[in-house]
Amino acid sequence: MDSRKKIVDFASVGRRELNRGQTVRAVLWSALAFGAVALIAELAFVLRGHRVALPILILPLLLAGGVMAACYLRFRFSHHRAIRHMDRFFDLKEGLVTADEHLREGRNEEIHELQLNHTGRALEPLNPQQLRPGFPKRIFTLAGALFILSIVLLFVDDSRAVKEQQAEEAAVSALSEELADELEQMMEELREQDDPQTAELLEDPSLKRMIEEFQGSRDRKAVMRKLAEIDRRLTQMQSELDTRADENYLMELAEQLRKSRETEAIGDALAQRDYRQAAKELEAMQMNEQSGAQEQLALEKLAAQVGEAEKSMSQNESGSRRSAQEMSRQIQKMSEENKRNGECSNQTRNSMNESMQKNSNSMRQVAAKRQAQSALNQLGQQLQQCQNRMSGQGQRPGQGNSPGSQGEGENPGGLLAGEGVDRSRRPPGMSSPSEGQLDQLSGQLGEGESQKMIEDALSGTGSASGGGAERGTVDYKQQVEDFVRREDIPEEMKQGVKTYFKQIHEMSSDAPSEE
Amino acid sequence: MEQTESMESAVEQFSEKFKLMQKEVGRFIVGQQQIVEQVLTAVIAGGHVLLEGVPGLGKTALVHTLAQVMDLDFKRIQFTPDLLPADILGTNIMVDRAGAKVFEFQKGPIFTHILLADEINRATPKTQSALLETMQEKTVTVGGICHRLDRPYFVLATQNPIEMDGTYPLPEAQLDRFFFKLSVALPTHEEMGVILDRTTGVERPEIRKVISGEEILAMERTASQVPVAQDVRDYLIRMVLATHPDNQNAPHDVVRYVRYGASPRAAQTLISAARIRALTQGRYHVAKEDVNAVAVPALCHRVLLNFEGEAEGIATGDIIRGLAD
Repeated sequence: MDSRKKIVDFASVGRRELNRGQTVRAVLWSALAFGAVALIAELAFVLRGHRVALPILILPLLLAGGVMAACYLRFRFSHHRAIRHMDRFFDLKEGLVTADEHLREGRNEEIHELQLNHTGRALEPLNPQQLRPGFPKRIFTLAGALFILSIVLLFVDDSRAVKEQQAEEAAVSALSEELADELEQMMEELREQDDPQTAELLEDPSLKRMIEEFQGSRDRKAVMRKLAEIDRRLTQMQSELDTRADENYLMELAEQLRKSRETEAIGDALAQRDYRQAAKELEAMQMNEQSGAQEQLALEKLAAQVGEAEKSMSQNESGSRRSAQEMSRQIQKMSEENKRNGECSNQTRNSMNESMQKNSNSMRQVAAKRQAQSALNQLGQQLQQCQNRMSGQGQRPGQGNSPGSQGEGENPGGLLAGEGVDRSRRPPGMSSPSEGQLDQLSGQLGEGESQKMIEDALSGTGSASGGGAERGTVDYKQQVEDFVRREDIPEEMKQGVKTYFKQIHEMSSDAPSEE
Repeated sequence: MEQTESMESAVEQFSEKFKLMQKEVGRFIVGQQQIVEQVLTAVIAGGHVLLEGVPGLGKTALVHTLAQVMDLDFKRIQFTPDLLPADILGTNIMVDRAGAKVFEFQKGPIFTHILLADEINRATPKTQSALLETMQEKTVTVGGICHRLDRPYFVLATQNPIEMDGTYPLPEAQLDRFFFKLSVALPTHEEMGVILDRTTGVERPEIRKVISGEEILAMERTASQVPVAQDVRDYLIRMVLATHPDNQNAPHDVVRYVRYGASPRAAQTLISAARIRALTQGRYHVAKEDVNAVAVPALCHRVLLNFEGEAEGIATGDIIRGLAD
């Protein structure tokens, strides 16, 4: 065989064997890198109690590929390096290196041919396959151990805590679905009450959207937050229906009307908040051609009582007051005309009747608003129960041990449904109707016109708290502190509550000085 | 192919002649095989050799024997403190030529093929430096006339260790012109016995002339054709450069103990000597081991130690051996 060919073949086979060994080494290094990185990534999951997410293995896989390519490219034998390695390995004393240089440079002088022949003869007894490097046992062992360990970690299941957390999320999701259904059902029932004002309010798109967003959420805090938003929206809607000014005036009017025998029936109806009945009574008092002096006297009494009520309610800006004023003026006009002429004209009588009719309509409107407000209160109570159930602080309606008693559920401190809570329905920044009137303070504490009274009465499951102001103040303070600490209450609402109770405090501290 | 065969035969002859010279010298010189081989290497490369050793080790006998082996002119100069350059080179003297008085150059003993400069370090520096031109350019310039020396020409000098009394250290420039500096060691017990037998008996071994000047020049030409791979050349250059303390590849010992390293002439010496050694080893290419084998005699007199190296008694040979892979 030609010496040149022999040398070229020898170099080629030798280089292939050397690079085969480098390939094995690169694979082992990549396995080592994969095992190490996968182990770290998997431990990050397992130590937090989670099972390993398989997509995370893409990272070490890519890294291992990169390491393998880098190792091979870095350590692979180039032709020249392989020649030098073979020369050293077979102790050819630079014979192969020199011969390779002759071949590469195309040298063909006598001495070069001699050198090539000499090297060719030296290569004859040598086997280039002896160049196959020994198997790197240490790297193999290490890589294998890391690889197996990383595979084992793939089968570690979620920890108990994680499973509980997942179960909790699923429960919250299911509960939020259920609560959303209940809320929708409640709204549907309220819509069917055939009250156009209630129906209009319940058609509010933002309310629908909030309920849809709240549906199916897995985060308990998020659900609570959404419920608080719905609550705030309901409060806002309720404030739109606030008939307090009308009712205050009508209550004052009722007191005055009850003083006179002729107007006692209207007064009683107004005192009982039976505005429809009062409207009927008022309509019955309208003058006609058959009406005599007795009816006229009743009307004059009515006008006089309205005038008395006007004195104490001069600050009231309600529509009822304006209607009553107009009615009083018309009655007085009719009375004066009667005194002057002995009878009144039809026009005057009609004007008076018209104003009385208008007053009756106003009372009916107040009655309708009260009904809508009652419906919203029911909805708000339902929402409160939802919040309690979501936070694990209560039971479903009817599941309490006894109405009005302290709950004995798993979560200490929870209140039973139906006991009622003190929740201000007044929007932030809105002043109390009794502001500056210390004699109405007791009403805020469970007596008279306070919201608490109304809610408890309407819910039908609680008991009205008519406790003293001192005990009520302590309760309120506790509830305010609890309220402002809740995460799910918007900051502006908290601020409104703080302002409200600060004002109460200021009035309380001012009271003794006035006495 | 015929050319290859002629080259092959030249290489074979080279090897045969080298072995023959070794054998013939060995008939009188006992032991010292490495010294003999290195002297022969220097002779074939056309270089000069400085043999160093205490008196009586057979330095002069080796050179004398070598001169007997080679069919060449041989002259010997015994260097003494009162020796003058003219005593070596020759001088112009007035002679009568056909009734006219003319100056004629009277050649000194330097005009020969083999010059034995015995105890060269006993002469003054001025006389020592008279050899500079002859050793490098192989010419002698006297009275403005340049006289060319015959080839082959080589100086085989001997010297006593410089610490001995009455010696003048050779200047660095002259040291650098020696191809090899060889230290002749004391013979072993057995070798000493053989030396006594050969030199004190009635019969003396007869030395034959086995090689001519032409053949030596032919051997030099053959050796100069031996290829040196780039890797080996780079290795050799790295080794020479590493003898300089300011080189980045210089090892710690060089940085600490060496004042000045080897010159490019040292690299030339190394490559020439390595080629000859490769042929004597039956190879057609130079290996790193050839370079390593000739590194110490080629570099030891070219690497100059600093004061600390001298004070520490550092052997230059050890530093050079530390440069090998």
